[in-house]
Amino acid sequence: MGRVVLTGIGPLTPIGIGKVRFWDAVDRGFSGIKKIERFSMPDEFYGGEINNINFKEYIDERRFRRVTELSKFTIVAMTLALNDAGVKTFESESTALVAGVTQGALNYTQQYHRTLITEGVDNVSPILFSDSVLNAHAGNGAICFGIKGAVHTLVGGATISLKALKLACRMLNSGVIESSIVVSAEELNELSSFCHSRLGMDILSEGAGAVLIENEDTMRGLSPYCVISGIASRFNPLNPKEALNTVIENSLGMAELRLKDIDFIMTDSSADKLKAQCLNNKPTGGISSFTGNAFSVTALWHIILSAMILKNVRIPESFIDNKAENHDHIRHIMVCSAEDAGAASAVILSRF
Amino acid sequence: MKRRVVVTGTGMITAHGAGKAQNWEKTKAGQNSIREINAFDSGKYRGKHGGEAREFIETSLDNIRKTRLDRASHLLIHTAREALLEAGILQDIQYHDILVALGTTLGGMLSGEVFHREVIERGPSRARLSRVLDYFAHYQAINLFKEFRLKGDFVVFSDACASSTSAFGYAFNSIRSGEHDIAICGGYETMSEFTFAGFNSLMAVTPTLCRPFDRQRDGLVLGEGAGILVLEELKHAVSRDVNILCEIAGYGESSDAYHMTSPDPSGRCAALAMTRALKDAGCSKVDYINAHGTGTKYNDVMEAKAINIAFREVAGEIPVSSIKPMIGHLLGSAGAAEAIISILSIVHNTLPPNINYKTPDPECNLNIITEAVRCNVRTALSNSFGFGGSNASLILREYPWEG
Repeated sequence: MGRVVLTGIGPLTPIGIGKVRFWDAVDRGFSGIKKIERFSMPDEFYGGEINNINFKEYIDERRFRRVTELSKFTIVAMTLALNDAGVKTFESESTALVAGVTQGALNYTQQYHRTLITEGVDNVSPILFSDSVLNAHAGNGAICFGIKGAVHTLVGGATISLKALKLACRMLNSGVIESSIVVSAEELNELSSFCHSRLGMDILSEGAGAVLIENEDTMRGLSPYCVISGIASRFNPLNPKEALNTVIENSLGMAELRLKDIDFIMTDSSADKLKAQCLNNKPTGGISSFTGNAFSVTALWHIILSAMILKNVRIPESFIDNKAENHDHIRHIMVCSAEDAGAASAVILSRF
Repeated sequence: MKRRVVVTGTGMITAHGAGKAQNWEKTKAGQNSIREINAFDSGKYRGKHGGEAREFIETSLDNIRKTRLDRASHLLIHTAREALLEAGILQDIQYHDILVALGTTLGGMLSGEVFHREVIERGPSRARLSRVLDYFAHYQAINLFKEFRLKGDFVVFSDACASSTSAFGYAFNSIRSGEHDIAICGGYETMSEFTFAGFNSLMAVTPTLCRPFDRQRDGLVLGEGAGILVLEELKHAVSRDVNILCEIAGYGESSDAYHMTSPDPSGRCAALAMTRALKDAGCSKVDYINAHGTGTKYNDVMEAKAINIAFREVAGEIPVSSIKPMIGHLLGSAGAAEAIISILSIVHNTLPPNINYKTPDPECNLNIITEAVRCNVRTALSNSFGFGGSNASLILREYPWEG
């Protein structure tokens, strides 16, 4: 069985859509945080909003005209990843789709439920209901691209898209499939934003990310970005530090590496203190301060950015928290996600 | 060589009641536990009935506070306790490294309903944020970890009505590959008006009786409950000298890529999930099929076609039944509850009936059993199909297995 390689990337972010714009925005240190226009809040509310996209460029609007933003984001990110890989067709039964999501289609959920409460059952839309279910974006993505292998939706917090990647890698390693798209999407929602604002939490954002991963022996992608050499996840609510240490150790063990071999660590803004303890002050960086917190999607954006760093052999200076001494020989990047609640996941990407 | 995986514990709550013994007795007897809905006023809906777990109020908790805990968490923790007790590891579960793999469609939707209602009635600044955490579909798994002081890993599938079968498959493969030795897997679902209204708006709910595979069938009936199983690597279970209920022989999955709410009428993709499970198990026939059998017009025809594609000339010989007319469609937890009934069919050499079946449908040309049947049941296949086109099939076999 060949190695698992990453052959296509599809970033849909508040700082840029598509890999060229995304890389350019990161390179320039461009911030996508601005006043939210989609809904009105009592106070000014800032976040990472996607409002400069023409869906018609990517989606058959007639077929998917009524789907949620979440589904549209998913389809756009998948389109970008497949186009990037140069994959025009694939064997539908040996291709899988694994989606990660935290909130789901809250806008349709809220709209549907408000109608049910205020106007009664006779006025609710069956479409709003069926697109409110947590796997609707994955279902629409599979329908759009004819994916018949296996289609899964995993729900969870910041670590969930790394778990989705882990499941896809396992399916590839077992030989059940030859390729898999891993996708994650979130949409901004008025209530969710309001709750976060009340709690004084991170600035939120929306968007999607998709990657195409394949077995090296059968890959159709034209030019692989990197190899997925190690991946681990763990949950220990009684000892979050143990969870993070274990995923670091296990992912390194799988990649047959040591922490000193890791050239850069990509991580989100949660559980900062914990990560500082576990990562030995290695050079780290993350894009949440530019994009906002997109829950499940942030870690996938980090995967995408890491893949580009490994291919371009350059780390954009703008987002490095702790400057790396040598940026010219980047061979291994660890993407790490941890939550104070005790969930941790880590992935090691190595140069192809 | 792949490691072998066995089931050592099960727990179940449905409209039949709490506990697998009660569930098995009533299922075997073909008892209809569908009643008029209690949880909310169902008078305004096309279908007014459902399979509520009426006897179950809440579970006892040792390590987390029950205030604010969603009913979904209560259902999950209660059934997990039953399964862990049967597996003989309840007392020392915190010393094991545990994988928790669960399936649900809407998680803590009852908390979501309360929160949304408060937002409308009181405004967003006065709605209780305490309701929000349990609304998230992965939070019930976190509560499970906290209550039993677990460590390990968890994954929550939301693959609509195939959710808990997907979770079962994930746990099975995790143990087979050596990643874990023990897993708690299954699913849970509550009866919420949100979901009930949604299925009614889709005209999927029957105003009469749920009659899978019957020519007069006109829809499904919703249910609530949970099904939890303890899966274990064979040698690990043997070393603990625990009773082994059955072995998991194979798992297969696929997707229709056809329509968000309608199955692919050809049945080809559902058949692919079954044939993959058969190939994984190394067999070409089973002694029993516990059908997804929702009682909707399109699902049942599709499933019949799929079974005929997967089993070819022997399809008509295999006894088939659906337990949904008795307890309702448990959505995300349906697969787990039905897997447990399939296991009990093997353990007791008895097949449960497909009640309410009167008029054969030529489009559903299967061997539907309408009475409980005593026979030698060595292998069983359990099907789950969901919105978005997710298909998952599971093959269970007796233990010890002598080929």
